[in-house]
Amino acid sequence: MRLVGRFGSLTWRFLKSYSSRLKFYDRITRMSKILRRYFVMNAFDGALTIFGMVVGAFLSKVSNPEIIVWVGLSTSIAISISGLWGAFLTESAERTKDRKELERLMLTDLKNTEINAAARVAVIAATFVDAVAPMLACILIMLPFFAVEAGFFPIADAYVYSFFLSFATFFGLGMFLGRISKENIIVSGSKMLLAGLTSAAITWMLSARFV
Amino acid sequence: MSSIRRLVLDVLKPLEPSSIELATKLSELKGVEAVDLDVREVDRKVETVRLTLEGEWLDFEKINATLEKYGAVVHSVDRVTAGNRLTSP
Repeated sequence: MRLVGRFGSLTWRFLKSYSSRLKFYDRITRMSKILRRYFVMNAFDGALTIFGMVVGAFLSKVSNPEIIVWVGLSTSIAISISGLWGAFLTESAERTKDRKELERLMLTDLKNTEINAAARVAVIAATFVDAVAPMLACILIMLPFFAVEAGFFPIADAYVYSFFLSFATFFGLGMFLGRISKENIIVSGSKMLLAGLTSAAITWMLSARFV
Repeated sequence: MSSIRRLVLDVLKPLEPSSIELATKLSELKGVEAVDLDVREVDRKVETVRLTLEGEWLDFEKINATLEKYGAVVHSVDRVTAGNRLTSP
């Protein structure tokens, strides 16, 4: 019992020191702002893509949940990989450029400094957020189809739940942005929701024209 | 053996980590009792500061290593006080 307590206190001390280090790195790189932006942008990307896929599946009357689950999963993996690669390369390039500019001004090498360590952490964090945010949004919207696979309810219900979850995701992301900008969160949520409705309306009009 | 009791350094540092952060980190060093950081010139990305450190036993190597760790560079050592007591304020 004492050993567990000691382990717990050591872990807590480690987490505390690491979190204060992360806060210090955040003050140097201002990464939390960037991460917030990346999170919303990429979660929105992922949610809208999967929503489009579900709308397409609904309009083409796909009744096999396995198709939706696999197409959805492979799409979300692709979006995540795109986010991961894109964020890693662009963030690395930006941070290296900043460091080199500072090195030129300081006439010194900054590779072994806390500034460089902070930049590395910012790159890793941005890469992680860019990869995970769209994956989370995609999986959330596809949850009803996983439930269909598990035999919880019929696929017709899954479409309804999935649309509901999509709209909730769009609205939630909009509300999050509204909270950041300290604007009306309902208005801000509605703006995001409008994007989803626009996407659905265009797909529906196309299907009405061609099917 | 006598020790360094006061150091006045001319330092060029990046704007981030901030002066507050740097002064706090220096004050946490062993032997350092007081840190005074006076900003002399601010540029777009860097600033020149005059650092005054006082203590019983100042270790210049450690101070310099800490400054380098946070991206700062010592341009010159402007004043050194060594011995058993401070000579003047």
